[in-house]
Amino acid sequence: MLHDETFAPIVEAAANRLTTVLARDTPALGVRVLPWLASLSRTGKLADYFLHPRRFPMLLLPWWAVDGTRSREDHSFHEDVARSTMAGYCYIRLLDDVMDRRGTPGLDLLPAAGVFHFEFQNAYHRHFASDSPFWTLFRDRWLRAADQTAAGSAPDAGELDQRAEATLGPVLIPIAAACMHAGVPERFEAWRPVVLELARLEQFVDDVLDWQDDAARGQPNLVLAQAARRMRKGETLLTWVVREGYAWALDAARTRVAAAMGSAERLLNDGLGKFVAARAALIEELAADTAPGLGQLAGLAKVFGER
Amino acid sequence: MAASMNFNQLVTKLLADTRFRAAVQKNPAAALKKSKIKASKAQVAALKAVNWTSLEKVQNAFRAGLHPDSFS
Repeated sequence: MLHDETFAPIVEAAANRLTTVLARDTPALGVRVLPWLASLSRTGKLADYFLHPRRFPMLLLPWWAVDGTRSREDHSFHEDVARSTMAGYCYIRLLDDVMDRRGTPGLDLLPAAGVFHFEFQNAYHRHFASDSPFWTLFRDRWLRAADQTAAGSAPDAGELDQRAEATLGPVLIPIAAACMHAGVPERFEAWRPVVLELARLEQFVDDVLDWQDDAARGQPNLVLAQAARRMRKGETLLTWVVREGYAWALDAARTRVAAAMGSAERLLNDGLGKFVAARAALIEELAADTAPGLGQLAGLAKVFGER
Repeated sequence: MAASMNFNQLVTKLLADTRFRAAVQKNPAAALKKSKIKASKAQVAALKAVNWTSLEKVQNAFRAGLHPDSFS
């Protein structure tokens, strides 16, 4: 568990407010969209989805960033931040799922995007004046992320890393909000590169764990980009992954974890360190789980004449 | 007529075709014969020596997904 006891009720309250808006203020839409939200987590609770220990800690990052400040006593502010982040995530997730034809949402859920976007932005209006530098960052990160969703296909590894940074860039918005609200804007400057490094790591780990699904759906993926460069003539993607691709992916993930760990340690933040350590443990768990099977397949390759 | 199988084809069938994997696990020689695949004694022996649990772990890892709590 990455969150502390104080934070879970804040997230639960934020989730309740978001679902209440959908049920009370947009009842016709709520009937359709609430089951989709419930389907995101096996418990059916939106808060559980965001607090799952394997989830990218998008709600926790702003909380962690203002550790030791009096801002943490303002639960109302942090509830607004959490609600905004949830709504922003739901907005992106809904569009992604509809565009990728993945999961349950149909086109009839698209009007909910308007509600999610309103809640995402509106949560900050009572905390930041219209001329606050917060809104400059908000605009920059949100528009950059929106633009990336329309980027062309078949990007190389460098472009994919930039995409990951742009796509997950909106997580900087709540961190900037929290740091500015707490009166420690310099912390945001320290956190910004670390969070973007975490975003790149997260995308890579996601690609390692989802390469088969991404290959089937024609989605850009860093492992698949490496395969396109490294596969031998006549070799299938699966055979490449077995021969060298998986080992390459795990080593590359370890390198990224080490970089993220170094960055997290410089911030002296316990929560951040725990998150990166959990990702490191996940990589090692995968390595341990797959090593015997990949070793056996290497043996079969010799007997069956690897091509 | 039976044809020999290369490693590309073997890996694809073993990891992607659960029925073929189950049949090979039970009796490699019979499963290969049924699939009209010609195999040497050494190849059949290699398949008999496979630890199938470890292969399933590989296949599970290849499609694990980062967030098992979600349905996507």
